[in-house]
Amino acid sequence: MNAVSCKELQIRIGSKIIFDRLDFSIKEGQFVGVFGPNGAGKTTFFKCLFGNIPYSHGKLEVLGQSPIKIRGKIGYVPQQRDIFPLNLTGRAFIATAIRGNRLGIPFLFREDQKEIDRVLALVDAKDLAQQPLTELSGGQRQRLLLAQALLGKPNILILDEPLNNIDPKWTQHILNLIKHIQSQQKLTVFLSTHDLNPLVNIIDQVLCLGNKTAILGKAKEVITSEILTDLYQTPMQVIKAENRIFVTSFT
Amino acid sequence: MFALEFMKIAFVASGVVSIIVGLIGYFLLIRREAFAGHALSHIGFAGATGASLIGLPPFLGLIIFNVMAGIWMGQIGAKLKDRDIAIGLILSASLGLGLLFLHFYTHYATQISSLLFGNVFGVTYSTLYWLIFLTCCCCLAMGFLMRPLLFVSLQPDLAQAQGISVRLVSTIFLMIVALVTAACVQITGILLVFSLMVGPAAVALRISKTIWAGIGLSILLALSESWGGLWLSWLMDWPVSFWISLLSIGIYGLTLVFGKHLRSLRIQDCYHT
Repeated sequence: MNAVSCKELQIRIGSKIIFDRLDFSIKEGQFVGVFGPNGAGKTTFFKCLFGNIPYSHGKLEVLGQSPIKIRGKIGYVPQQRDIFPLNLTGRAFIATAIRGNRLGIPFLFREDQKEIDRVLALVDAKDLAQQPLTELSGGQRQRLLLAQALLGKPNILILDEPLNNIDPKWTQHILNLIKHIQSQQKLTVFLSTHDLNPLVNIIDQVLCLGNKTAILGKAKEVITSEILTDLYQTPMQVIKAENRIFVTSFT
Repeated sequence: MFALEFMKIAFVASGVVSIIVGLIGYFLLIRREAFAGHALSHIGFAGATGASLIGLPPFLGLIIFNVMAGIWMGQIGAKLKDRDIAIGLILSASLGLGLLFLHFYTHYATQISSLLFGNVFGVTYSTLYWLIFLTCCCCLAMGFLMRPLLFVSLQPDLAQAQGISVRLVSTIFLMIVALVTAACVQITGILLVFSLMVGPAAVALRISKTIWAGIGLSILLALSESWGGLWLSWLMDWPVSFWISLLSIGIYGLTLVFGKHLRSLRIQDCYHT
């Protein structure tokens, strides 16, 4: 089954067209790197996938259904926010998302505790469970956010620029972790980034967004000077060497 | 001390209000909406003086103005920077309006003084029943709203991705805050609501490591400060609101100094949430 399928898809915000005539399909179990300039609409595209932004024309199916119907099957790590001035422990923070979409008092049952243990083990963060958020590094916080997104065993995991402000060592650690979880849980992963280099050997496909369009394919096929120049609307040069891709701008 | 009827009523009224104020204050701080809570009490001032001017109970005017302001604040949206400017402007406009009503309303200066600085010893049985009813309603509403509110407050984008209307939850919460603020005015007065609503919650947030420990501590501190204020007022014959505000800043100051030692006590609870 396709994880995501777009046909003649148009997405608008107000009168502004963000994407026009998107036509592509992504099979389940793929690791997709989402790449594109600032303001290209990466977050908008993600929000459309879980039905927060309605599309204006065409057809969009996620896991074979309308986006609104599969909300519980998508795990989401939003762009890094200033959400950690609290003294809460990692475990308490993760717990706030359990059945968060239902009314009631946030008591936890034994199965909820087990679910928290499961996601903490998945992201190798059992040692962070009792530590206050204020004492954690950016990479450690990112692991907790990832754990929270994995609650309820989603089929699709969307990570919106999770590598921002994280040093190269932690970047590689987090990417390896995501790849491991993706293979183990057979997840479809969308990870947006401005730097494709750390992802080149991990991702199955690249989805390049920009200039109201999207191009999907293998990294080596899609990341070319011609395609990026077209997407960025500015002269770009791509240099490929030893499994690395360097993207530079002439301006 | 408890032989006097007004003292008994004062203890029950401040105890009842402290429970809901401690709970609401904790969520206000988690959501970084302390200024909204502060502004709501001041906005109510125009409602209370306006109601007095046309011969209605000030408490009624306070509630109506507060709830309307709460709904409006919830609808402004999440951009905190723009929100604070808009709330600040409405706050000033409301105080200006309150001043205008006072200009025309020349009687009962003591009633206005009670509104501004509180008069818990003047709480009547009928006001006490209203406070109990209001507190019960707000506790019930929080019982329903607490889980999505917590989720929306800490992870708004993730909550939105799961189909929760962040704006709706925020609006309902601010309506509850509006009602609680109106109740708190009866104890501390409009100008000192902040000390009882935010002080205990700020201490709880600094020390506690779980949600339930934070809520419990916030309520406990609110109760201690309001009852402590009453007791000190009885001893010294100084205003209750003064003592509450002094206890509030005193305990907060102690937390700033000894915060690390208190945190190491690992104040947690059996639910680990």
